[in-house]
Amino acid sequence: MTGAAVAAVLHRDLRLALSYRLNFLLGALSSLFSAVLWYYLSAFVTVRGTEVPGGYFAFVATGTVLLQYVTAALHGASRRLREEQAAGTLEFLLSSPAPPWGLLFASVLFDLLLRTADALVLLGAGAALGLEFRLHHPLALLVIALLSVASFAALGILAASFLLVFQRGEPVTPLVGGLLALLGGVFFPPSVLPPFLAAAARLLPLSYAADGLRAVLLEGKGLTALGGVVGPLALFAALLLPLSFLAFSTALRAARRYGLLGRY
Amino acid sequence: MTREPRRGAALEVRDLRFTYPALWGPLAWLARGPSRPLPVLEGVSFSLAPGEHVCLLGRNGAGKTTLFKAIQGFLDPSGGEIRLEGRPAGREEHRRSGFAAADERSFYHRLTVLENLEFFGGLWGLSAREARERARETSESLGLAPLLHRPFSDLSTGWRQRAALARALLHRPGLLLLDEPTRSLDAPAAARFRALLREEPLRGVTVLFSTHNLEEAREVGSRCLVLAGGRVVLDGPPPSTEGLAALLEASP
Repeated sequence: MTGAAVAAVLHRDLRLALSYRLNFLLGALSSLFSAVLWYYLSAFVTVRGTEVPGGYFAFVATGTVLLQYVTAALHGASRRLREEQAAGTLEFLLSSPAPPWGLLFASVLFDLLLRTADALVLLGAGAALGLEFRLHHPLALLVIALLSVASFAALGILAASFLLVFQRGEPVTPLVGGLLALLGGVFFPPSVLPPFLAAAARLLPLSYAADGLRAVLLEGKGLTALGGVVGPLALFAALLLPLSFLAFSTALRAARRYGLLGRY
Repeated sequence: MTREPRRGAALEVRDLRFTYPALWGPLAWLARGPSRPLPVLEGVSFSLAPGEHVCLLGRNGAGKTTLFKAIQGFLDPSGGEIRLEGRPAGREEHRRSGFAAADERSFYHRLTVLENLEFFGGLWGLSAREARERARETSESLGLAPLLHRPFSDLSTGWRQRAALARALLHRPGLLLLDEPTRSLDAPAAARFRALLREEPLRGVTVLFSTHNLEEAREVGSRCLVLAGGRVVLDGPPPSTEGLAALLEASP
């Protein structure tokens, strides 16, 4: 995929987002409210197992930022595909020289950039309310973010593959999305769950991403101290990315063969 | 009554077949797809010489749009061959052809005309600057320039069709596929649209133009293809109204 095509997708998405200005502003405002909500809630809540510097406020604020990212990566591809189907632009996009999966990834990338803006608002508000960050290793943050996003964007493309064929009713995002908040270590650590659920949480990339993000942002750890997090995240990405490309190519072939591309 | 494929044809379609395949029972129910095979194209053959403008006629459901979609690569043919400029049409060749669909919804209504054209130009590998320059040049030729900064949603149907034409011409295609482009236009707007086909930058571009209007078919080109029963039943000068009616009546 050419840089021109990626730039065109990002530019289009920015223009579309800015054309809904109120929505754009409300997104930032919502992050601000989240920070304030977690700040006051954390004054009343103590959850065992959240012994990170900054206490429960730091735990849940970082967890919320991460959840926003992975949700954007997970839902981005299928949401964009649905929008293109409904707008009637999907066939035209697929007739361009840009590879279909590249177009999807570029759209997801824009959603992630938007979430970065929301994350900065949330963490900035957290800092104003007394949250202390110890980001001594920005590279470690980048590696964890990239591996997490790759894993969840791959799951998102898997969901989009179902949509190409069935138009609605893909099973991936409801299943994975529902498990994330429960088992992902966003609002409370998986260690407080019954043992079998705590074990199941270790099968989700989000658990590792949450541990990694908190270790880097709140404890100032670097990559050398994060082998137990980076290894599994890399494994998830290495397994899920080829699987999602294979599923999407297969779905696209089926859609061309059965004449399903224009349906929604 | 089909012609032999010509040498150096811009587009050559040989014995093209497309059948919507039956889906496996439970899958047909889940995806609400066909449970029986539905043949649409049953051996379509024709060719277009470079720069030729040819009209495609046929009843509703004759397979005109399916033929366009197969040429564009949106459908995988069940059989036969499509060649573009003498080469088997693979994905890249498909993507080099231009396609202005009559569907006015295939734009982003929140963006301006220029923003839409810049985006689609970028998809074809044009840099932002190139895309902007070409969008301005093409719009100038098509009389669209005064509306470049208007949101697409503000455009009338006639202007939307011109925007669709401008988009198709951005990457300078050799072949333009127009699927009922004047379907929703009033008579003067349709006449103006047809006149555009004889002017720069469309002069020299091969055009396949589908329509239900016989007068329009006569104006667009000296040759027309009539599709019926999944086949080309006439390849030659546009028939008389009575001749066309008789031809369509006689076809399955």
